[in-house]
Amino acid sequence: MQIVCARDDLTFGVRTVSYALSPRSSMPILGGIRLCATEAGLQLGATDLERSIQCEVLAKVGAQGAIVCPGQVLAQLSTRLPEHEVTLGESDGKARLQCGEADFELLVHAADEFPELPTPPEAVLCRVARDSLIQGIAQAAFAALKASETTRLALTGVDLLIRDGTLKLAATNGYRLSVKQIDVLELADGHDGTYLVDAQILNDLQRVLSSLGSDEVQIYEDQGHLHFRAGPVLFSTRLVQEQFPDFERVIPKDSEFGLLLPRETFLETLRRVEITAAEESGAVTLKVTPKETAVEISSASKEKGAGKERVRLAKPADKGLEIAFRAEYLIDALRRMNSDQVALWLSAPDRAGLIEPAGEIKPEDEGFLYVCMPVRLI
Amino acid sequence: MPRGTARGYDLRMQRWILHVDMDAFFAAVERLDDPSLVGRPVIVGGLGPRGVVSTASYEARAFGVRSAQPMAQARRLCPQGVFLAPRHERYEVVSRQVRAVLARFSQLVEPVSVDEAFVDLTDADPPPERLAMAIHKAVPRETGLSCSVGLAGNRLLAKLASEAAKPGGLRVIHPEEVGGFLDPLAVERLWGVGPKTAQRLSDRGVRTIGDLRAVDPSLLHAWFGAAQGATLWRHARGLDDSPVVPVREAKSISQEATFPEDIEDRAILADELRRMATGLARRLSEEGLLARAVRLKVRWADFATQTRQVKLPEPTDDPSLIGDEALSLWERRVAEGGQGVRLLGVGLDGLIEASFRPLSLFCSEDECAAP
Repeated sequence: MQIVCARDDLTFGVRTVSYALSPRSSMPILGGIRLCATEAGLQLGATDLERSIQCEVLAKVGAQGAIVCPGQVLAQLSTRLPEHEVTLGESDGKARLQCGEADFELLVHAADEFPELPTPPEAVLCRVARDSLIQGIAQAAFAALKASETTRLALTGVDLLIRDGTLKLAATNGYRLSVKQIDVLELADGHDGTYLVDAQILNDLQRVLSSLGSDEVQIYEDQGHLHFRAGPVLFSTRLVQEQFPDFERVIPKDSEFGLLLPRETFLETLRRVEITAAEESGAVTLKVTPKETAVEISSASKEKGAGKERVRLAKPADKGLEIAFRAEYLIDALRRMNSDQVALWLSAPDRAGLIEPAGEIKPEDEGFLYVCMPVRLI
Repeated sequence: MPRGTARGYDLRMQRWILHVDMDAFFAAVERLDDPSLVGRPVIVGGLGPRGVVSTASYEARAFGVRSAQPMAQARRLCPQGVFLAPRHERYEVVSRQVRAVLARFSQLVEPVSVDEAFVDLTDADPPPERLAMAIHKAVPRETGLSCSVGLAGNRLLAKLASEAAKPGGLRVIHPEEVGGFLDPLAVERLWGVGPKTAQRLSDRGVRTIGDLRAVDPSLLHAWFGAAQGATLWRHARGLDDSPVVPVREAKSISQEATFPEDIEDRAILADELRRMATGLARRLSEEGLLARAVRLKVRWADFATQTRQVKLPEPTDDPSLIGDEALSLWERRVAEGGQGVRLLGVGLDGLIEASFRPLSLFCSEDECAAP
């Protein structure tokens, strides 16, 4: 193969597909990026077999064919090339890359060992706005566990639930749950379904989407895969074959009372008070007194001491309550929100708390809710 | 500093790993203690109605007796055989003598079962091949028992080499011989390829390791999942960088059960795991502790032992959460053995004082408040 392309186009393509590289894999071929030149142009692809990313790049094709270059080397090189046209071809079983005065011969992997990459079916499952999907992933995926941390796969995934013309993204580690509902632009007729996707992979999808200019993402589904197409990029991922827990059931529907809190002040207070929380529990206590217009947030540990701070409420509390949460869980949610105020709905010291955006809700926060189980201090 | 494994191996460096396998170990020990058995077919195993053969001497194997065979069948095949019940304490003593011999040649000795061990000879001073010959002579001289020895660049190949050397031989696989050695072997010879996996491969026309090497990695991934798919791909190429790890005991609470008969029924094993999880959770709450990690131990019928551990998202003393983790360790991290389970154990690590209790979202128990 032999192609000529603009440096920035190559850099963009390599960076995009690099999110699927698996440089430390036990299969060395998975550390490679396949560059495939055909009549249609140049296509870059990489996969770790769980996900694959393919990206079309504008190029003049001199000779068709495919080579597999070591991904990390190509990624490093492409960002440091001088501003010239890039010529990339194959000679003597090596890849030759020329750009201005720069001239590199790179070792290649055997192209016929490169795995076949999945392709989506013709029919679109649904279309969503790119920005909504990015925000949906940002506000849901953080609540899951990493695959390296657990053997319970359902907790490493984000559940994509399509029902009644909307898309909900939900994730949980068994102690907290985040749910984000986003609008669907177009949906295959009467389609309901649920798809579990690894949270880390969705985070990478979010990064890839963030660097694209297109407004819209098309989602396809087939044979255990979900495919996301946006502009020149096709991002495919295998589905996690596990049952996601019935999350609707654990969202509190009839909390006894709500506290209206200034989000940033609440967040900063938690970040301070967390410092004196006990190492193992990370717990902070929220003390609400009836008729008072402030909530007291405190923590104490044998090793470090104690701290407390009051946060003003927009209106006095109806009831009194003392409840403890792992501060990290509250911080995780509050720092991913944008609205000035949040509502914290509570019932009892051993029942789940519910956080929602409140007051003048920013568009980015629409459809977001977060459930957090308390910690019982003994 | 080289990256990679516990020993800090440079993955490109040539290693030399030795595998020592005692020949028909139980039968050989019986013969050592009772010389009148020499030359006769000796069969050691369960003598009860459901007993199976643990070890058959080479004379008994000539009659078609195999390990894991029902004892009744062995008696039919070899009526003139000497049938003995196993004496595990005695085998353990002899096993320690063998390990003591190995320990003189390297500090890196990993016993994998009572009659098998790996020895890392990478950093050995005399050339590894000469050391291998010395070990191959020293073990019979000092214990009176015959052994087979394999020497190769990693554990996978060393074990296959000692199998090829059986009985009583020594086989070295040099790096340039790996492909030629592996290709004609049946896929079942690889670690992690039990009867079920072998059947699934055979259904797709893959019978030899050479066949397996030609399969596209995405197919292996789709058929067997990420972990097993990658392992098959690597093993077909003779790749294995698992280190030789000398064993150490960890301190924590645990519960184990050795079964009177090896168990294959998964439902029984799952019940057993749940039962142990409940027992351990009770001990935690009695002592006012929470656990941050769960460990699973499985010993197969051939005494090979696997241990797997996972961290918990929150510390707990909840029997159902501990049971869930033990079960999912069993389902996701324990390789298919293709044989019965002899011993099952659950352990809890990272114990801390229960000064707090995180409440679970999806807990169905009464004490867990519904939201």
